[in-house]
Amino acid sequence: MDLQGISREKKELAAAACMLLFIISLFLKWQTFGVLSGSGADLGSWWLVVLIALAAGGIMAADALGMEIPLRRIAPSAVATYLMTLLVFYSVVFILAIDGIAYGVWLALVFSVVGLVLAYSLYRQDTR
Amino acid sequence: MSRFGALERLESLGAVLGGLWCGALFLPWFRPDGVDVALTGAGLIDSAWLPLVIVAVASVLLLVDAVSPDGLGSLPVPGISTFLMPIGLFYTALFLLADDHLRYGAWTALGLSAAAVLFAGLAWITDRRG
Repeated sequence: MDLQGISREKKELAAAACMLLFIISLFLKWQTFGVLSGSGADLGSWWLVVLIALAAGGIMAADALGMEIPLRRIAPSAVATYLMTLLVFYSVVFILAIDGIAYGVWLALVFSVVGLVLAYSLYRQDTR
Repeated sequence: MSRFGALERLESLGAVLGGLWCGALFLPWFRPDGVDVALTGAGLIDSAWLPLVIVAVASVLLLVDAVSPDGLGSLPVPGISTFLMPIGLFYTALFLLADDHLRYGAWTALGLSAAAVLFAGLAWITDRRG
């Protein structure tokens, strides 16, 4: 897929939307064992992941809307890209760790990877 | 003349701390109520090998870059390691914030991973390769 034909603002808003969808996927079914099931928010530190997704999505949305982001030495797209890498890591760690994987964790992986690809394409654009 | 300048010292410190974090994964991190045996950081979930491999690669790269005569050429090792090393800190924080029954291993891992990130970051700032 050619990402160069998509405008910067559209990419940023799409990445921000991916972060929102990632947060929603945390509350969906991540694991099933018999009649029981668990979500991505069952781990006590789920709020840390929500904060990271909010920060990454917030940076992307703020840049798309032309708001000033208080980052001087590092490009906002670099920060967002890094934060989304952590979310991909989070999804992969749980996919590899849990038995009875359910659809929620796959959605989390898809949204974090799509967000990362979009943010990384912006980062490449910024550092050229 | 020794090649061991500021960059190499920072890289070595980052490498040692990253290596120690890998070791701290095998210390007791939690001991839930009613359980005699403590869980290690590596025993928490089956995929603990993933952050272990990532931090080990970052540490080895830093060490090789620090001790080899010409470093690793044009490869921006401190930059790569600064990218990889926080994965260990993130993994530690995820489980540290998730449970109340913490043991010394979890705090040791937190300190080591934070220090490893700091020294890798300082090496990245010092490095001129990008």
